[in-house]
Amino acid sequence: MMNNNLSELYGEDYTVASEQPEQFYWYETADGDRFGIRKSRLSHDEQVLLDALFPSKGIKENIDDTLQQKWASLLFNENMELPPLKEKKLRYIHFHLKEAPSDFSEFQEAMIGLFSTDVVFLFKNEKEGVMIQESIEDEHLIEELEQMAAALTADFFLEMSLFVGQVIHNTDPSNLLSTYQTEVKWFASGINLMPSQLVFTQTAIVPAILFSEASQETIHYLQTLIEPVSDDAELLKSIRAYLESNLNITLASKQLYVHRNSLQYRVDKFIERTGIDVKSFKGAVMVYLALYTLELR
Amino acid sequence: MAEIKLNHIYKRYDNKFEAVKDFNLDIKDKEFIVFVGPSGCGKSTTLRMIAGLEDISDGDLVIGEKRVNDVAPKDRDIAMVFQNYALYPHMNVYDNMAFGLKLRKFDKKEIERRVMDAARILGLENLLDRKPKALSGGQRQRVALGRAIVRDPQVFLMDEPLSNLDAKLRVQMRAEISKLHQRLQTTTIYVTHDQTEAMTMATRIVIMKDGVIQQVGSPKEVYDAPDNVFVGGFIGSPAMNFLRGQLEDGYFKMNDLKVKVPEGKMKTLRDNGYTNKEILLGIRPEDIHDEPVFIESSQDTKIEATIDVAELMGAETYLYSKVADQDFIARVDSRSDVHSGQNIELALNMNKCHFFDTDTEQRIY
Repeated sequence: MMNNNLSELYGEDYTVASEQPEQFYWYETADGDRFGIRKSRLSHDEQVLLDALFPSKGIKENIDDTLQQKWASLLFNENMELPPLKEKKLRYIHFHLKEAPSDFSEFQEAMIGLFSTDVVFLFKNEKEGVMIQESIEDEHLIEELEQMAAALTADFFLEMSLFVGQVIHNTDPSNLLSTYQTEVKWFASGINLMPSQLVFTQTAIVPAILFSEASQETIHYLQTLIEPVSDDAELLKSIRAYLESNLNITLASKQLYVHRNSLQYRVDKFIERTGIDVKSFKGAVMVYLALYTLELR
Repeated sequence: MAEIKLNHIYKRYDNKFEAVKDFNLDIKDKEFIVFVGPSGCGKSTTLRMIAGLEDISDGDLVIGEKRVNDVAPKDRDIAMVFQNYALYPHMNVYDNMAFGLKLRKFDKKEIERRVMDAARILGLENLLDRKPKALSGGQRQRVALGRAIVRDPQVFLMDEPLSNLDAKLRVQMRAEISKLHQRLQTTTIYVTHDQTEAMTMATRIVIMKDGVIQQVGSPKEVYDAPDNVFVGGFIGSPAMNFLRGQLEDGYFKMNDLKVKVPEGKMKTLRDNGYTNKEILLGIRPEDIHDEPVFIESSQDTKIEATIDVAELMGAETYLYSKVADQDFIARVDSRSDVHSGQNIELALNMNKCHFFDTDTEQRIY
């Protein structure tokens, strides 16, 4: 009855199937009947109203593609059939949204448009999903993902975290599934511990996993190591840059836009005040973990 | 018109931590408001509540005439600019600026008009075909600004937009954003931890600490009359000097040293019961002088000091020293030619100094 009324109201702009599905917003009734209304026909208010009446819209619309279906079948339904692959390696880029997007197809379009190579895009639920990337380009990836997450926030007012998983060479379906499941768990730990982090990499997520199982006592102990400098934000930022530049003063000073002598002075000041030789590998590891505790929720 | 009212705003997290406490502020149409404070002071959280990226735990947020606490972020008519460049790496400059408008179903001609207008304002006309990778840091941030401008929103929200740029570019972009505001006249809320950015760009500054507003005022007001020790120390570089001492017989005494307090100030201090009590004197580095003429006429505020370090900054020299075992910095003219280890005479301009209560840390005069 409802569908008849909608059909009457929207005339030719109402359909139940189309060869150009991207021109329509797709909805599903409580009985599972699917219908679409041409995007250009809907005003913003009408769209909001339809969204409220047919909340299941969106996710299913975006799993029409065969390749998407095959990946969804493997990763979400544990059906051990290998989706067709172009390459012999791949990786997952997991995403997590704070809120569900109001328009799934526009969001998907934006996400896919962010990559220069083909990705398979899957929503697991309204807020979580994964992109499967076969052509792996690492150059500037993290920086680009950070920019893209910020751009999506600006355009959709949605906040997002991403986790770039490991490069998988063993494309056996069981390995693809188990790696996916492990990474989902790791990503959840990372988000829980560091909710403001935009992009997680393996190197950032491993300490998060260690800390998810660490006692308060351990975390407190690590924090006390850098307590003498804990209120000096600039010094801590400098030490972090120094560590992340592989203890290379020249490189780190360029990143911080300071003279290398200034950074050298700050490193010496850190050693003098904490008593930890951050220039040694062991000292650096300990300070890195201690700095990590400052980011924990 | 986009006036913004924040009435008794609170942000509480599940663990009961209060990130923002009783935040009250009326922002007038066309104002350029800067939230400034150290990390963790609640400035970004407040901005995110205005954007709708964080829920408001308590209080009312009003944009224009409408309470927007429960209005979806996309319907608040605001545009955000972030610290990260917020660009789509595989779209060219034109498409990056157009994308937000496409999402909002603007027609092609209107999109083109707005993008070309913004490109002209920001000097990006010749870069429209370039991808972000082929742009410099400053150009990228300009595109990010362009993405916000094309939306023609009621309010711009900017969250440390310059902190990824090097010092020189930061100064340049600071001026560009100020000019942009003068031209567009859009109400802007800008978050930074950099007090120089706050001082140079703001119509009014909101200084925050531990989730609480410490002072709201024009840059000149907060510089000349800080409400408390925190504001005095946070605004200004090098920071204000604070010296602990006692008020006795019209003098501020530190151990065996004493400087005369102007009678007007002394009367207020006396009336407020600070005679013979411990008190905190705040004096800016530029109000400590080494010029013979000034010292000559200020014999009763003269001190002797051994200079620990003299830092030549170009036109000025910073002198680091101690008085009655308390550190202070003086900012003097570089023509003075003072060296480290030198014993010199200095005089305090007591007409410019401030007095603070040692317990409450609030300014008395």
